[in-house]
Amino acid sequence: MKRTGFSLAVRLMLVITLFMFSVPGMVQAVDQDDLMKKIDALSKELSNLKQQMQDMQKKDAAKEEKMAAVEKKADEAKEAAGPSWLEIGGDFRTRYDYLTGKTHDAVVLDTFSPTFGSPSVAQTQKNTSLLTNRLGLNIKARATEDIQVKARLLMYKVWGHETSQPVTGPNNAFFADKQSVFDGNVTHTPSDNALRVDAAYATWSNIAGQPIWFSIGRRPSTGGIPTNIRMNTEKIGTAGVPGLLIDYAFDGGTIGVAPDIAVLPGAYAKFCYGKGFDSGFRNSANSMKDVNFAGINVVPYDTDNLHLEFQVSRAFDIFAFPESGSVTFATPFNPLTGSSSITFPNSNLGNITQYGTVVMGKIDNLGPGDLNLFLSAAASHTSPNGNTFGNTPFNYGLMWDASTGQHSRSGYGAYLGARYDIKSTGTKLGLEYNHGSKYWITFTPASDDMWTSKLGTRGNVYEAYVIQELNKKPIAKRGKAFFRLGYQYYDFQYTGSNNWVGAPQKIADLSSVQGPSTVPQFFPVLKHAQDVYLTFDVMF
Amino acid sequence: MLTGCKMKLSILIIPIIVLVFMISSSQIGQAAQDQILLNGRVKIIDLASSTVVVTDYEGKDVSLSIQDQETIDKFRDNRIKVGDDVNIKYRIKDGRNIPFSFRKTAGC
Repeated sequence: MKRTGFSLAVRLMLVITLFMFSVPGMVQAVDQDDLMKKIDALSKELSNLKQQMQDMQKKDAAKEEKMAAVEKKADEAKEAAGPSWLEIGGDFRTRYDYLTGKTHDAVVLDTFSPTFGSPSVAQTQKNTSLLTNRLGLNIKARATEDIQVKARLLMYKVWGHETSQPVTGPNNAFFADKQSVFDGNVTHTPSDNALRVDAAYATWSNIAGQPIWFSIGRRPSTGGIPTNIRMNTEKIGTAGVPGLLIDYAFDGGTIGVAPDIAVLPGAYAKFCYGKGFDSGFRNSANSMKDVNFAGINVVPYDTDNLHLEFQVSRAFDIFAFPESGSVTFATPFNPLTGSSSITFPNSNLGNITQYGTVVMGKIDNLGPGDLNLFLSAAASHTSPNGNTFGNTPFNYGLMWDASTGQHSRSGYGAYLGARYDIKSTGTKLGLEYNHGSKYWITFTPASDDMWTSKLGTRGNVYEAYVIQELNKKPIAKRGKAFFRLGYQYYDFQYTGSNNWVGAPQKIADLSSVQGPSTVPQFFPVLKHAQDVYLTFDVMF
Repeated sequence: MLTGCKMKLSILIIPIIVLVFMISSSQIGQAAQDQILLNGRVKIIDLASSTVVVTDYEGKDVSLSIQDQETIDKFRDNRIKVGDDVNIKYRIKDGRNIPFSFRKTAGC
């Protein structure tokens, strides 16, 4: 009984002990299974992830291969095409002018007729809202290696008009350069909305492997330095001519050379020829000769900071009146002839020779900006041939008339100015002054001035302007936009600015009373004139 | 009258002679054997490394190592800019293209 109880207790103890030891083991066995399962699951997920990553890497590699192939193709296409052969750019401008002036007493030819003189009393002339639009398109086409064609097309019109009448012709022109639209000023005188060819010329460069070029066509002989400063445009470069001497649209040609001389950086020289007038067939009814221009232009130094330029040029057999073998004028009705017009043959009056120079420089970082300075000076000399325009008693020769007799005349002109460019604000402030003597004559009918070319003025002209560029990131190659507000004051001292026909006379000495030796003026005589202008220019 | 005609004729003849001479010279002109002529357009100017890349008219880029101050000054003065047409003569030395004549194509 005791043994049974003892053995039962021992057995119980053994069972409990075994249970106590076996339960954790059982639990442990269960956890290990789960763990193994979880590890298997994780391993599978890892494998999946690895597979996915490998797939992605394969896709990326394939994508890169494709991109490389596209880039290669693009490069190949680019190489096949080479540098672009065609460039197109241009500019647009809207301009407002407020024009006021005052004429002086004088005797003036009646409606431009060189037979009738009429008294003209001093009065105010005013156009308070002359508005114009101008669109220019520039084309540059590289046809072959070393041969290219450049062209500029221009539309320049008056708001509310399809002719040039608001700025030219009787009652609106006070000077010869604005008398009519002709070959030398067309596209630069506001008229209608036709898009005309301002310049178109072909250039053969690098002739014989040398820095020599030949260029022919309708020349970019307008807007030359330093007139580009106030226009806020780049200087034209080797194609340009000094603005004080020539601002005249010409057909012609150039042969030039640009030797590479270390001490004369950018140096070049060229011979220029232009035709100013084709007289047509010469016969018993037409003795008019062609008008030709020739000149030598030398630029010994041309960098961003200094430009030196010299030019000698001559106009041969200059005409009295552009673009016509004869000139018909409207006149009062003449009962003897039964006509209201009179016709005079045009005439070659002689030669005009010009000598000129330009010095233009830029001082970088002077205070908050750059300072541009320029000085241009020139002389003119006439060689009359005795021919006259008009009928007795009002005979007009080359810078002479019946009251003065025939003489060669020498004149001079000077043009100086400065423009300060504040880089941080895009503001440019400019001041200009020019003077022309009594016998000063230049060829600038394509100027951008509304009254008359200020550089041909016999007297003084003052101009101040401010340019405000808009701080916009350019999209076009030449992309920029700016406003320009300016003021011009003309002080005319002698008659006939920008006109080589007839003798200049001191304006202060003129009267509206016609004496026996009075030679009438071609136009009402402007004594003072002002122009306040505002432009909005966009270049692209 | 006759003298005037002769004068005009001589004025015409001089440029014609000059042109004919230029044309004939261009046909017979041969580059020296060790120099390479390159006509093209400036693509890249890197003054820091004195390297200029020019794209020839067949679209091939040629990298040039500029070593003379005179040419470097042309880039500094903006006498030659990106996009300008240029005429170059260069030699290959130690695997590099070294120009000895680098000028902007003269013309207008």
